[in-house]
Amino acid sequence: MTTRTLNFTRRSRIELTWFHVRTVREGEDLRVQLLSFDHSHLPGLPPSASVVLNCFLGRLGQVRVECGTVNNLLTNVEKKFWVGDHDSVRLSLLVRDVDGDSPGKILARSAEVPRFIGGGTRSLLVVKPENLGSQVWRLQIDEENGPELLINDRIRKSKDLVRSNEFSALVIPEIFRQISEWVLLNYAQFEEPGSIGYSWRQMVDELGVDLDGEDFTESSHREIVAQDLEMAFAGRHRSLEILVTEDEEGLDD
Amino acid sequence: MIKSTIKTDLRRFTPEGVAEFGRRVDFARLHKTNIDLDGLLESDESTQVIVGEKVVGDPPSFERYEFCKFLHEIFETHRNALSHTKVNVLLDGGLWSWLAARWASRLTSTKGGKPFVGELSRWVFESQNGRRDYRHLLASPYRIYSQNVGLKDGLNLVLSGPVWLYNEFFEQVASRKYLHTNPEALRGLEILYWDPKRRKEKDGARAVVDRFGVVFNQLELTWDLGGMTAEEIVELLPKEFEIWKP
Repeated sequence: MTTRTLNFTRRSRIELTWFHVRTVREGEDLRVQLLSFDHSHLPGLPPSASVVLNCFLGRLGQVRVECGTVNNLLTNVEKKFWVGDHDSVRLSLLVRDVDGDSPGKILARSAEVPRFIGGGTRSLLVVKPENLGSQVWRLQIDEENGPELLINDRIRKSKDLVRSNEFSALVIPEIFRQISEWVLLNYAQFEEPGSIGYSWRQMVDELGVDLDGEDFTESSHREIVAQDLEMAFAGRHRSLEILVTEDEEGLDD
Repeated sequence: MIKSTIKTDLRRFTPEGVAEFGRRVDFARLHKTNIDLDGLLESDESTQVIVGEKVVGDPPSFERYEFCKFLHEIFETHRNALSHTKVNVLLDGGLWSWLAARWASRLTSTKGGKPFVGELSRWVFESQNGRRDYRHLLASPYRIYSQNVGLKDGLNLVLSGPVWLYNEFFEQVASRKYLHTNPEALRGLEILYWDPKRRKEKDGARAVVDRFGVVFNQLELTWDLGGMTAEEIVELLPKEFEIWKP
């Protein structure tokens, strides 16, 4: 027996991979911007139809970002709003009729997707779902916000993934190595307590690798020291033991 | 006009304070008594000071709108202190539970000649519980007020009546997030059910207002109601609403 779904609304579905949204947290505020929307999958959309990005914050409200029209998409519109200590918002993109038979009618809409935006207290490593194509994760280092771990937004439970033992043991040490290179390059400049660079420098210092008086301008030297730091980090966080213990537990089963 | 009473600090309950307040509310509910607040409101163990000056007096009225306006002025005046103590006014369970306790004697109604406390969620604010958070006597009306500050029309029905008294308009709106976060929808509600000449709800409106909430939720699936005016929303409503249209 087959089940059919009837689409009474005649509304088209916008797949999550067709649009790309940037969210940047600034303290208790969030800046949101639609970066792209590939509507070529929906050839029937009227050129004058409006494109709206909705941001939902639970019961606290809904923020609309008007992003122009289908044939004149505005990707430079940025909206800033208060999110307090919420660690996620829900995003949805819709296209609404403007000049057609039913002004205001929704012609196409995406599902509401949660976007992790970090907690109220500043996280050392911000985790962000992003459209990464076929790549699973990527480290991005922003001069102002510091390192950001981008996780492919097709992975629904990105927070769970990052917290998993496998990710902690196999991926986090490599992320730390990349961040260490950035810290070493800017070691002398990261002196301002409270800054993200200072916090990372402290983390590197705590590993006990002697860095005093070293010159890290040469990339080959930075790479070697960063590898040392990665090993110290993996040892401190017992990366191998996590997997070995898991494996042994698996054998018992 | 309520007589002025002694002002108090602005405080919030600690987690222990919230738990103790909850126990006392439960006791009062079961035994049909007033809530015993002895040693609770200003105790250092059960509360944390937000503003250590006597800034919280009695409101000019316990009518929802007036009461929310009164609270809003306090929060705006002491915004820095709230921020400093990391109090999120819209979500802080300790703050709203303390405020409910602060005016507990005024918020307790009577039923059959005995004090009527009602369910725990009217007093203890559970901001993370989507099924109960809108039931808080003070936090829920304040949320609607703060989301629509400056709205000229739209709150006459929803924020009418004393905070402890059941209001069908408030119930319908507070429990539907797409409704109370949409000022034009609130204005649409008033176009239908508010009599501007008599400055009161239209006769019989209270009995049918639940339909507005139900139909609004259905329309929301098909129409971009967040981008429409109140008049456009009203225009979309089916025949059963014709008799209420002006």
